[in-house]
Amino acid sequence: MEQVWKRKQKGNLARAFHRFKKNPLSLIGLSIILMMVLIATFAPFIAPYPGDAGGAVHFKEMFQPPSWKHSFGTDEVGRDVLSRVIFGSRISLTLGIVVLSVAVGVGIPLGLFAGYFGGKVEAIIMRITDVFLSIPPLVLALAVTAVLERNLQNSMLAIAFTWWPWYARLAYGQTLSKKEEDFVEVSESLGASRLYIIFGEILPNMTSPLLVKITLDMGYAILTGAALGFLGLGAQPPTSEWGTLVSLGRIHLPKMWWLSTFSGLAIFTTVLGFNLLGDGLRDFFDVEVE
Amino acid sequence: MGLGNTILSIEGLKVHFDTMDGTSRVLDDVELSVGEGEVVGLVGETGCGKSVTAKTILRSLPVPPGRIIDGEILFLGNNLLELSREEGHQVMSKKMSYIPQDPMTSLNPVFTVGEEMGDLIRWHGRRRVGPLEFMGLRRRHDNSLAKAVELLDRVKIPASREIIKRYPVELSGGMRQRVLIAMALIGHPSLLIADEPTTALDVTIQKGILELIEEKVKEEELSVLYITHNLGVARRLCDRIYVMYAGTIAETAKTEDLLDNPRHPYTSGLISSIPKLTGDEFKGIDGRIPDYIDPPSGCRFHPRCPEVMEICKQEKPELVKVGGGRLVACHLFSTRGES
Amino acid sequence: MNQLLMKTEGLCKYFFRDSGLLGREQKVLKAVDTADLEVKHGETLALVGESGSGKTTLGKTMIRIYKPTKGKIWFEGDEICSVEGDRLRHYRRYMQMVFQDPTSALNPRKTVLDIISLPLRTYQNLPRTELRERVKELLEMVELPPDFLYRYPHALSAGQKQRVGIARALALNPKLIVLDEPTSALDVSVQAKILALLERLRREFQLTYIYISHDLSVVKNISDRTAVMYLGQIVESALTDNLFESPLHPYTRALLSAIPIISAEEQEVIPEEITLVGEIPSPLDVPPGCNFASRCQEKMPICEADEPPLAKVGNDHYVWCHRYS
Repeated sequence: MEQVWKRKQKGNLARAFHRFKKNPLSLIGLSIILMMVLIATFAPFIAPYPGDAGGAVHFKEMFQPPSWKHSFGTDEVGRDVLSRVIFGSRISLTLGIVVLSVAVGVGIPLGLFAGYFGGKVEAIIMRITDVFLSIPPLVLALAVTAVLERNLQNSMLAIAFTWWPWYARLAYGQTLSKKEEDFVEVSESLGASRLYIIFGEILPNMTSPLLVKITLDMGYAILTGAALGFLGLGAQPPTSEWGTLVSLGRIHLPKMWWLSTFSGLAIFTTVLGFNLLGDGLRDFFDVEVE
Repeated sequence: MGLGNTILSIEGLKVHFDTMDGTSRVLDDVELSVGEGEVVGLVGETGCGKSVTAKTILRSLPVPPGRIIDGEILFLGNNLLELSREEGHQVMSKKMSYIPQDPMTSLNPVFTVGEEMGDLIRWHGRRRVGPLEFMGLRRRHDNSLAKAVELLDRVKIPASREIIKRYPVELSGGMRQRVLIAMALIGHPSLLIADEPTTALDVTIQKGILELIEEKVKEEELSVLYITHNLGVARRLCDRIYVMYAGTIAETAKTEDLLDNPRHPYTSGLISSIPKLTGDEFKGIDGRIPDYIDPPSGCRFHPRCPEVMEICKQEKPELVKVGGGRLVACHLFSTRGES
Repeated sequence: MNQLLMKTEGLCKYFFRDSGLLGREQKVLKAVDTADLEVKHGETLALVGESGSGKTTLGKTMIRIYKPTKGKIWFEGDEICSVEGDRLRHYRRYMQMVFQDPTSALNPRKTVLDIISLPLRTYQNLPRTELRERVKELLEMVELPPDFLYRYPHALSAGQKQRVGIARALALNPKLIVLDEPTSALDVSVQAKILALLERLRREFQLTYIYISHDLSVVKNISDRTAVMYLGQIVESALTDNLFESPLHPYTRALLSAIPIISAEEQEVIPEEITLVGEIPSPLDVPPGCNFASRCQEKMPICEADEPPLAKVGNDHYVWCHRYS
């Protein structure tokens, strides 16, 4: 009997991997993301012309179609598009990570407090959350960036501003169901501190849905960041940001198709990667995320 | 079993489940029969395979992950495992019915009792109802509501005319279970399969439900396969009891014989585990039910058996007759039988 | 044995529910209504009743997991009904609880070590190694091997989970443990083992139990005294043997006669068959008079008018019924 249980214990990780493997799409998603992370990390070493990421100018080579020398072609001032797309991955991933860190860091504690304390705390936090949720996120982000200076930091801030309510809602719902569990009552009756109960007992129980939501949201956050960039409200040229690249290349369509296409494809692939992984994780953890 | 014809008989039923860890060999050569007018109990602890048995009979086993490897289920002369969906439905919908375990979730919360019962009365035994027919007939007056009232009266629901207008949430657990029994009786089935219908209920409510089932069995000449983990409930209701352990039948005998004079060591262990009102000592069984992916060799009970012998680890015991219509799957008796 | 450990007088726990438009009306759910109980050192007091009888609420109110609405509780002579803060914490360490659902009682994200050591961590500041040693001792007490320390609850069987729950309750050397249907989620073969363990622990550590259950066969075997509850009120309390030999309250008799028994000898022990009719009234809307009147087959006119008074009918045998007043 004991052997059986030992086998189960030891096999947990292997089993998890086995289950995960059953879904090839999520594996594809995972590889896409790993690849993106590697590219972003080692961008200066991978990019054929690292100098082109910024404001370099090579008028001799402007508007060259994809070739052996410039696989993705060159832009209106002769910069290598491949290098710029590679460097763009850094900005998009940073944006995703920053936005979600802020959203999780703000939203989760608020949701936990609202769910655990109830009463007035709940009423105040959740009504504010509702107000934020009632405005379309892109509109809100546009409003925020319009007020502030147009740069990457402010666009991240704007997106994070629209994003935290979803995490507050997630944590709130999870807390409501978890605080009914007997183990919470045990900690309460022992006089454990409220902060310990909230962060030590309840929070660890929402890691699975949280992980799934973060993965799925990474894609959307990157997409929103690119949208702001496209509208000229995000990172400003000459920074190579995917949305900005698409926007700048747009005026040269359809003749110089390579300008917008490759950065657009980069956005597409990254978002797809996160969505595939997120769906896989959702099946894997068997959780419901709105 | 001496009670005239057999209505349901299961032979060598093997059901496996495909899981992440490998094949779970849940049912292993289950043999079981229910005679006409007989109330048969299928008793066992959590995870012994009694519900899987019921689901296999009712053809509601989820496939996959479930797989029926071998065996036959003869119901009124038809092997249910060989019939097509259509044929199976024909045979079963009219002659077999089912009382589920959980009265709370087994009624659709958006329909009143009258609507839910009315649909069943109108379309009993049909496999498909078109959407137009469904919408149209639901509104048309017919005698189905009157019939529903009559059925509720038969299961002793007071103020049945009022109850048919109520939604399931407005009824108590005992009341809902009565409604479910009434629904199971629509169309006069020959065999009733009940899967722990009183487990969720309080003892005083349970008593009323058991009395009702007892009465209906007599009135309607029903045969019943009653699945429960409670030997006390089985004693009250059943003519004969099957004891199931880890996907195998350990023993079957007339209720009194089985309880007063258990033969299989598992049956004795189970009975002596139950606290008695007489204050006799009670003791549990060491160990726990085995893993189905890698079940013990030979007799599946041998790692927990106080009377284990060498042969038990190697050979699976067959169900053998030990007199008085009793069958026991234990080497203590098979060797005795040979010598 | 005869020393009082705990006594309650007129203990009430009401829950208030807003209802009506804008929550203007408030409905009162009297989960526990004027409970008078005595718990003696070293005994097992059983609280028996069906779902909704308020037995769990009473147990939790007695050890101050819930704040009482009215009434008094004495624990070792100290009135603890209204103590708060650190004083309450001081008493609580002597009063622990084991829960009905072993899965909900253990945090699925914590190891057995974390779970059992929680009471120690909140009350004492032990170094990590000492903590581990103490938890190992506790595991041994509940007959679990020490290599369970780093397991997560999902790798344990229901019986093992319940043992972990018991170990956690023992961690602070309590005097009183409320056992809330500790075996109702378990199979009988496991139940017997857990009951034997509880009995051994009670003797070894001079524990006092309040055993909440709906299973009268279990109660008969493990408790010294029994209180029967119906709709928030205690209807009868007596020494367990007396209660089973001569049950007086019509509800107690109905409850006893409904036990599914397994042998002819037991049949002789239970009273003649009584089948209850009618439905349990909604606890939010209890009619006046005796709570049980709507289902009682021996009811008299007075039962629907006045609340039944307490009647002492023998040594330590109390019944709340008009028939005996």
